[in-house]
Amino acid sequence: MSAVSDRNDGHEELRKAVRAFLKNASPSSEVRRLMATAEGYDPEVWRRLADELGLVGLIVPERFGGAGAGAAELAVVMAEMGRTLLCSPYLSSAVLAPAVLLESGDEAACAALLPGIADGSALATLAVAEDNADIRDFDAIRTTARADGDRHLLHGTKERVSDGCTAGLLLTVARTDKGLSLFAAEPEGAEREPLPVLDPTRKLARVGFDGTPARLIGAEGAAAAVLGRALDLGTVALAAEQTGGAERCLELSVEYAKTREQFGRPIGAFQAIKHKCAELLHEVESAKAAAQDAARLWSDPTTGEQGLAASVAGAYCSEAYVHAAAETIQIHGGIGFTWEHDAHLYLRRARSSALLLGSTSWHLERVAEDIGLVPTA
Amino acid sequence: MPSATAQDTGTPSARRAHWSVRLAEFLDAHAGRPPRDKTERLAWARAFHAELQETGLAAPGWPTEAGGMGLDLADQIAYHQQMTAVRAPKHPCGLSFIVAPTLIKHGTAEQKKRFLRPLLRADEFWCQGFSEPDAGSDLTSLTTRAERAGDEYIVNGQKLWTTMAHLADWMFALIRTGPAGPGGAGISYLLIPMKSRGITVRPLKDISGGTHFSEVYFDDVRVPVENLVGEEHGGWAIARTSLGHERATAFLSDEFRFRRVVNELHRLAKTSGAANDPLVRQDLARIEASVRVLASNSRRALDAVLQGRDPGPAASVNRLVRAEFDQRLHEVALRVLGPDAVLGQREPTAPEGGRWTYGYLMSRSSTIGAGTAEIQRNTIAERVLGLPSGRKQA
Amino acid sequence: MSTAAEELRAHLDGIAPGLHRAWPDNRSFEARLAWQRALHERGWAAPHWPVEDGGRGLGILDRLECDAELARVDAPAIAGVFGIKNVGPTISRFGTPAQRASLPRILSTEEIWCQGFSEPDAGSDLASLRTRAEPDGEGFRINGQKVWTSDGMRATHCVLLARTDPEARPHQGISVLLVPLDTPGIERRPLRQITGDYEFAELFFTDVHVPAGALLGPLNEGWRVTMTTLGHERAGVVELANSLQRDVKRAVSGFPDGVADPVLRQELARRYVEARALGLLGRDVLHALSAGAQPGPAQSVIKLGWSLTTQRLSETLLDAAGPSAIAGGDGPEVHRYLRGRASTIAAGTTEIMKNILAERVLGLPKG
Repeated sequence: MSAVSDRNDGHEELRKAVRAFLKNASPSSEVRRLMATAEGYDPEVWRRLADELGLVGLIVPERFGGAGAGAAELAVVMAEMGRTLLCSPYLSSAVLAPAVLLESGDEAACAALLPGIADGSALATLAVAEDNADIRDFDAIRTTARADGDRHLLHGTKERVSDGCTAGLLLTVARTDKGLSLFAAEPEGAEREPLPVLDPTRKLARVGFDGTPARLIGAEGAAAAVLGRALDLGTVALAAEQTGGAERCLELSVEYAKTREQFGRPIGAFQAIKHKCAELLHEVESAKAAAQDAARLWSDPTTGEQGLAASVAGAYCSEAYVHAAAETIQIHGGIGFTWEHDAHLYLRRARSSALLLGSTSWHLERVAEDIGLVPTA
Repeated sequence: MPSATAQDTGTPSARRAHWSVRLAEFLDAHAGRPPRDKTERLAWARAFHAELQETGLAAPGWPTEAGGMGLDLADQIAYHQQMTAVRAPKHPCGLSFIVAPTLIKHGTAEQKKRFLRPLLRADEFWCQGFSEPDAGSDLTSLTTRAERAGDEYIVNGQKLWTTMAHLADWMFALIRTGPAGPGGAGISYLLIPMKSRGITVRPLKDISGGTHFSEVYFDDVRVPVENLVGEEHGGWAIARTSLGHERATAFLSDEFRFRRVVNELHRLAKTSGAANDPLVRQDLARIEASVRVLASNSRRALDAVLQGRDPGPAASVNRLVRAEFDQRLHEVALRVLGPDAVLGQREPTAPEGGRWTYGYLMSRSSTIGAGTAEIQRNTIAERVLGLPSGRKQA
Repeated sequence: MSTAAEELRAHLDGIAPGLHRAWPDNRSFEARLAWQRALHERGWAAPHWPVEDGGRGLGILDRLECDAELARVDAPAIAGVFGIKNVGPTISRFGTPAQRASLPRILSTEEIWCQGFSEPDAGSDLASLRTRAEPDGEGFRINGQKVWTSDGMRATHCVLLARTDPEARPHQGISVLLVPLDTPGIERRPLRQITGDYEFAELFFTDVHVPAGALLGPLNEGWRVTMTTLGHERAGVVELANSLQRDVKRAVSGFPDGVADPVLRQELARRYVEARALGLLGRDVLHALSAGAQPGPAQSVIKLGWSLTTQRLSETLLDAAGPSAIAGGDGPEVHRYLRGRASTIAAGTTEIMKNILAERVLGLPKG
C-alpha cells in the first residue's frame, strides 16, 4: 500500500529483494503449513535465504564468512519477515547466536562456529531464561557449570528457548565460581522438549542439562555484559519485526475497511473505524521511527544510547504491535475471529514477541534508569 | 439483595418458602460433581434439566401457563442464587432462552405446546440463524430467502456464526420473505428443523482453533408455513423479544462468573509471585475495582426494577462494559502469567492448562459477537443519550 | 553546531541573564515584548525571513538549531510570534508593496498580529466560516465574530478570514484581509480560559470598513493563501516534535533524585518513549524537507502524537507532583494540566486530525 510509506532509509534495494522473495516463499498458506510442523521452518527456504540472498550471515563479519552488514540492514530484513510472519529460526540462529558469539570476543570460538552459522548449514540458538523469570532477569539464572578437565558440565533447565529443538548448537549461560559465563553445548547431551506455544509460528523449547558437556566461550564470569548486548541487538531486530507485522495489520485493516460494506457504505466511512485506523497509523509510524533509530544507533556507539534506544523501541513496538493486531481483529469483526483469517496469527506473534526478549515493563524500567528516574538506593 | 432460604416462613414469602424448599430438596437429591467426559457431562446436564422441569422447578421467570414458575423478580434472583451456590449445571443450550420469549409472546398455541416443554427439558436444542456473511452489524441487509410454495417455504442462502449448529434440533432464523426496506421490512421469523433435507452444517474454526461456530447452508430447504412465528414480513420486530426483566436477571450469572474468575486470577498472582510486582498489583486492583463496580451497577439496575422503576442507563451500558471488562481481565491475566504467557492455550503443560491464553484469544470476540462495541456505543449514544444518528437513510 | 546557531548563542549568552532578571515571569506579554526587542536589536527576531525582508535567510536545519538555542536559555515565545512565523512569510509571498511596509514593523514589535480564523460556529471546520466581507465599492464591509484569538487583546492588527462570495462552495469564496484593530466598529473582549488566564480574545466586527488594499492575495482564494504559510508553517510539526522532547526532558530533570513510585516511574518513562519516537518522526520530516522531498505520513501524524503525549505528560506530571498539588493554588503542574486539555482541541481537534489521517493518508472514504 502506498499510503503507509516505506521510510527512506537508503535500503530500498534490500527491502525490495527480501519482500519479493518472501512473497513467494512465505505466503499465508506456507505459514500455516509450517506452523503445524514440529520443526516450524522450511529447510529449503532457509537454504535459499542463506545461499541466494545471503541473509543468514547478514550480521556475521566477512572474515567469518558473513556479509558484515549492520543493524540497519538487519532491521530492514526483520521488518519484511515480520510482515509475512515467516516461520524460520532467523531470530535465534542468524541474530541471537552470532550476536552473543561476537560480543564474547572469543576469536577462536567465532572462527570455529560462525562460518557454519553464516552459511546456514548449522542452526544455533541462545538459551537464557529459567523458570518463569524474564529473560533479562539474570539473577534468576541458576544453571551451573562445573569444570571437568578442559570442558565444563552443565546442570539446570532453560525455558522458552527459541528453536531449541531444531538447533544443532546450544549457546547458553550458566554460573561458575566466577559468575555468569557463556557456554556452547551440543544438543545430544541435553534433554529437549517442545513447549506448547501461544504463537505457533515461532517454536520454543525447554532444554534440560544434566551433566551436559560444554565449552566455555569468552572469559569466565564475563557473560552478563555479553548477554545483555546480544539481547539488546535481538531487541533491535525484534522491534523491526514487530513494526513490519504492525504495518501489515494496518494495511489489512485499511483494505478491509474500504471494501466491507454495512448500512449501505464501506465501514471505513464510519468514524469509529476511521479513528481506529488513524491511531494505528500514528503508532505504526512512531514504531518504525523508534525501531529504525535503535538500529541506526547500534552501529554508532558514540552516543552511549544503544541500550536506551533498544528499550525505547522494545517498549513502543511491542505495545504498538499488540494494539494493531487486536484492532485488526476488531475492525474485521466476525471474519477476523476465524482461524482462516491471518489476524489471529499476528495477534499471537505480537503478544508472544512482547515477552520474548524482555517484557515491556522491563524495557520501560531501563529507560527510566537511563534517564535518571531510578533512585539510587 | 433479597435472599430466600429454606428457613423463610411467614406471609410475604410463604410461596417462596414453598418453592425454595422444594428446590433445596431437589438440589440435595441431585448433588454431585459433573462428569469429566464432555459427552457424559452434557447428558448429565440434560437429565438434570429434564427432571427440574418434571418437578415444576424450571423457568422461574416464565408465566405458569407457559410452563414456568411465574416467580416475581425478587424470587427469581433468590432462585438463581440458590442454583449458583451449589454450582447446579447450567441449561446446556443457552440459545433456547433467546427463542423462548419470542415463542411465548408471539407463538401460536400449537407452537407453544410443541416447543416449550422439550426446550426447557433440554430434550431439544436450538441454534440461532441471524448473521450472514454480508449481514453482520447490519442484520437488516440479510439475504437468505424464503419463497412461498403452497403451504411451505423454500429457503435458500447461508447463515454464519451459528453456535451449536451441529447439536441443534431446530434453528430460529431471520429470513427474507419480501423486499428490503427501513426497519427490517420483509424479514420473517422461521423455525427450521435442522434435520431438513438441503441443510449443510460446516464447522467454522475460530482463532483458538476450536469450532464453537458453524456456517449453515440452505439449499431448497422446505419449511412448513406453520413454522412461521408472528406475521409474515414481521419477524424483525419480534426477534429480540424479552420476558419482563430477563435482561436484568441474565446479568446475575455473568456477575458470579466474573467474580469467580477474578478470584482465580488473584490466586494465580499470589502463587506465582506476580503479586509482588507493584505494577501487576495495580493492574489487579483496577480489575478488582471494575468487577465491584460491575456488580454494584447490576444491583442498582435490579433494585430499580424491583421497585418498579426503569433501570435506566445502567442496564444499557452493562453489556458493553462487560465485554470490555472481559478483554481487560484477560490482558491483565497474561501479565500475571509473566513470561510463561508465551505458552499456549489448552495445553496440559502450560500454566493452568493454558486457560488464560485461551481466554485471552476468546475474549477478542466479546467486543464483536452479538453487536460490536462500536455498534453498541452508537446505540447507547442514540437511544440512551439521545444523540442524533449519523447513519444516512438509504 | 551551525555558524548561525553559534552566532545566536553568543547573542543569547549576552542578553538572556539580563532579560531573565528583568522579567522573572517568562510568560507575560511584557517579557515576550522585551525578548523580541532585544533579539531584533541584534538582527535575530526572524532568522528564517529572507535577508531583503530583514531576516537572515536561514534554512530549515539552521532554524531548528536556533530554536534549540532559544529553548536552551529558556526564552519565551516572542511577542509577535504569529506575525513573525506566519504573517510575515505570507505577506512576503503574496503582499503588495504597500502591505510589505508592515514587515519591518512586525520585526520591531510596532505591529503585533493576531489570527482571526476561528468562529463560534467554525471551530474544527473552517469551511463553515460565517464572517462576511462584502465588497462595497472602495473596499470591504466586515460583519461577524471571531473567537480564540491568541494575544487578541494585545495585538495591533488582525489577519482575518472572511467570506467574500457567499454563493461559492464552502471552501471557496473566502478571502484574507489585513485589518488594523483600531478600525472603527471592532470590539474586543478578553476570553478567560480554564486556567484562569486571558490568553485569547473574542473579536466582534460590526460594519467595519477596510480599503481594497486590505486584501492579501487574490480575491476568494483565501483558502489557498491559508494553506501555504498562513495556516501552518512547513517546519511547524518539526518544531512541535522538538519542543515536546524538550518538555519531557525538562520534566524528567525535575526529578534529580529519581521517582520512587514504580508506577509513576513507568508512566514517566512512557512519556519519554513517546516523545522520543515523535522527535524521530520530526527528524525524518526535517530530512525530507531539507532534501526537498515530500515528508510523507510522518508529517501528518506528528500533530496527533504531539496532542496526545502533551496531554498525557500534563497528567503524569500532576500525578508526580503528589497530593500537595491540589492545595498549592494553581501551581505550575495544575496550570499545565488544565492547559493540557487544549492540546487535543486547538488547531484541529484530535477527532478531526484522525479523520484527516484516515481520509487523506490511508484513503478511507469520507463519512
